[in-house]
Amino acid sequence: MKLCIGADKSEVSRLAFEKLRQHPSLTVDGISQSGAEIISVIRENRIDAVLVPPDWIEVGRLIKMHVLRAHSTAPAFVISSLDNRISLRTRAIAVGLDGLLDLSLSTDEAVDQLNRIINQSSQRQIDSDIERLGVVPGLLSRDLLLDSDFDRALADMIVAGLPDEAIAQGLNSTIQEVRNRIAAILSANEMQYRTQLAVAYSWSFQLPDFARLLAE
Amino acid sequence: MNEWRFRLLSETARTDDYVDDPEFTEVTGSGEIYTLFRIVRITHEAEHSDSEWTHLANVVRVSDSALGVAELRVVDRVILDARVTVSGHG
Repeated sequence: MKLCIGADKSEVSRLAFEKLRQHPSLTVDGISQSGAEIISVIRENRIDAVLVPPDWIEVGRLIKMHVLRAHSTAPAFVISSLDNRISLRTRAIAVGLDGLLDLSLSTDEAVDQLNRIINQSSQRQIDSDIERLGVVPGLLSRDLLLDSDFDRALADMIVAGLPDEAIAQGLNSTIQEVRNRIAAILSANEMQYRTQLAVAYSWSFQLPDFARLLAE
Repeated sequence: MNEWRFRLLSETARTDDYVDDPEFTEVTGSGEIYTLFRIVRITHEAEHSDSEWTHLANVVRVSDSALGVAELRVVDRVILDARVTVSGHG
């Protein structure tokens, strides 16, 4: 199994590197220093999993999205962490990463856990704890379906924290129309809650154009 | 629901006599859950204009065709608020 570990400045990543590089079933060449370097490693090697520290969840999400767009498949993207908090696992899965590797485990246990994450990822499964909570994998990383300028304006105002009444006033609309559109947007995007829409829309930024060349 | 505060409307009353758009959304779950309904028929009208709910209607849930009764607050042909009791599936 070939791993890519990012990022160089993270204590957690150095720990992951030290723990995993000695295992006979793993190949870990080093620690990538940046997101661009991770992308470069993925392009030049057949990588099974990319390990990133908890504060790289957003970076991992962006890299995975763009690797998927360019190649239609991507390695498993895994948060490496010193604990196995369900909140962190939930966030990782919701933004489209594949799981969390608990670095407090022994090397053999960690490798077993990593194997499970990679296999679950290839079979599009998630761990049972997260599944029980009803977390939808990648819900917060989807390209949102917003049919019109009105819908996008609506989402902009929801993200700004405005109540429906203020949104109706701001968009020169009625509260009935605003709420009907919110219901339609939630349904089209398979979301249950208004807050999911707010979070997903606020996370829907893309890799900037100056960095896109690196991802393609 | 205080039935006595409402008067029964004629069965020939048309929805578009009362509202511009027969589709409306009930917001529940502390403002988080938005459920789209469609009015089948407006059945009652409040006797007093200062009532919390101005109309009662038979409604259908758009996602799964469940039937229900809605209390509606309609002002200037716009549904400002709604509370639905789902009674069964169509």
